[in-house]
Amino acid sequence: MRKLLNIELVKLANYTSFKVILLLHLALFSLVIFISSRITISLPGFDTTNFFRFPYVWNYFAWIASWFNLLLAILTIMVTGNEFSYRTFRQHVIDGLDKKELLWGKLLVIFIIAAYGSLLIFFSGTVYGMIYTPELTAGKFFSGTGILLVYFLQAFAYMVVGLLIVMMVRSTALPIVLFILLRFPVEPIIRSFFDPSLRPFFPMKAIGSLTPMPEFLSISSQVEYESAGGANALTLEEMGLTAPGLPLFAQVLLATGYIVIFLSVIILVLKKRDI
Amino acid sequence: MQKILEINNLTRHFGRIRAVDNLSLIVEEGQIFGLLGPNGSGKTTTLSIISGVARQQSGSYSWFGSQGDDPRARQKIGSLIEVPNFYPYLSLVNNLRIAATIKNAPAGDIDRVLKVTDLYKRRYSPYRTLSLGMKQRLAIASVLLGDPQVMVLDEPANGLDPGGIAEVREIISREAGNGKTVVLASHILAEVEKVCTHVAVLKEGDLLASGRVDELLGGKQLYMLSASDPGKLETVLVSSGLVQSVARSGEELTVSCSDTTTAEDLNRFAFERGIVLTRLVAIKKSLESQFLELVK
Repeated sequence: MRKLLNIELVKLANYTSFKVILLLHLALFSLVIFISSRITISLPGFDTTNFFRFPYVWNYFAWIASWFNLLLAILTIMVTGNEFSYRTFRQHVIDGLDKKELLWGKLLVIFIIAAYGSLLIFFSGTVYGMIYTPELTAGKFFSGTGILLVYFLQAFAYMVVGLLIVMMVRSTALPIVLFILLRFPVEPIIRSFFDPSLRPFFPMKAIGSLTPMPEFLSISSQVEYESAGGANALTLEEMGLTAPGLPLFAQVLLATGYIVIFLSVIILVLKKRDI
Repeated sequence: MQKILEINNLTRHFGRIRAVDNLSLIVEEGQIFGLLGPNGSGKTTTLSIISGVARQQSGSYSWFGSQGDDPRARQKIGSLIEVPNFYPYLSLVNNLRIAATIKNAPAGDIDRVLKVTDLYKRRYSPYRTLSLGMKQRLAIASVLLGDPQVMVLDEPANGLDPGGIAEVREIISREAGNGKTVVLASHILAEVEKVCTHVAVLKEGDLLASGRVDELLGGKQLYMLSASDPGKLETVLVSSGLVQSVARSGEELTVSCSDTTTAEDLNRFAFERGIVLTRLVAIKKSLESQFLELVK
């Protein structure tokens, strides 16, 4: 494993496009949360700074970070597509890697990228939470941080989908296009033919709804942060703004299941085809 | 002699094209083994299969006696299959660092192989800035990483100018000294003749001939002889020591002699023994003619 980590790090550390896109991701995310923190809606009874308080900040930032998961998937497709265009996967096997190790190496890259995304949410969430939360306590800080792990799973799963496509198609540009089209409109169109109760089970939908849109109305209408719970406010689902979904643990299981299935398909493809 | 590589009935078809057909070979320790054949004769497919990157439909191979696909065995082999494969944006040193890590070769070896292939001055240049010949030399540098006892080279002089070809050939000969084993694929007869100790000739996936180079290629001249009494001629020739082998078909004898024996020697010898030759034809070296025929 260390061997694989070493060679992947040499490849990434000197790859300009990779670093540029990662910086772009960092800049876009920081810009969006900064701008959203400047927006104030002056309606009586609404306070948008609630989003930046613990514990809401975790869900809010994870949701915003999920907008940019496409960039992370593109990163994965780029670094893996390169291996096919440069024929370096082939050379790795000739030099003495097992074919499966090609996959483990890329999973390490995906792990690193997903960990970067989760840490980004953690650090920015900490900073904004500290600024906006009145009467800060450790309990407030830690509650709701579980969404970081869920975001990690989401980013990881998205990138595994990208990896699956690039392993089948073996180039760089085409898999990026296919990934974008699959997210929209291919899977949504296919989903629409199915019963609404089955729609949450489709891979892109299942992965995408891991980090749900925050309950905007109930969170922002709590002028008194301490009266948490928002029992008297309607949820987005009750208002018909979002489709009914699965409970979180079911979604986590579903996404994990998809990861396992996709990885098995990749291993099968690696075994069956010439490199 | 220890068996380094054993190939048994290896077969790979691409649709209706037979790339490799029922190929069996044994390469022993210390041999410089040439795979000779025109383009499309199955050399690269064979090497791809034994390097673990292509799958065979049937048959088997084993490196160092361990059956089938074994990544650990491949780490001990320096291979250059087809074209050099490197990251264009990485420097030569970083490209070799990746290869060395995979092969468990010491990092200190990188400088050595760069010096051997005369690329040391360019070690921090990105790979994409190299000329074709330098790229090929870097591929050879990568082969030499970890000082492997076995090398697999597929057309190592491909795309090089005459100077580069000589240089590559010299590096191989130098490195192949001291008991190393080399499998070398080439479509150039002269290259195989100069470098190899053993050779297998392939055409459209079939093995045409294999054996020692000096037996198959070099040092041999064939003559076709006829006389009124072929039986007597045969006995005389066999006992003379002038020829290495005599084959008789009907009235005609085919004899093979060392390079130093000329048609004049044979004629004079027979005449001195009281036999008048009715026919004496010099035939080209056997494999060369066979090879040229199939290259056509």
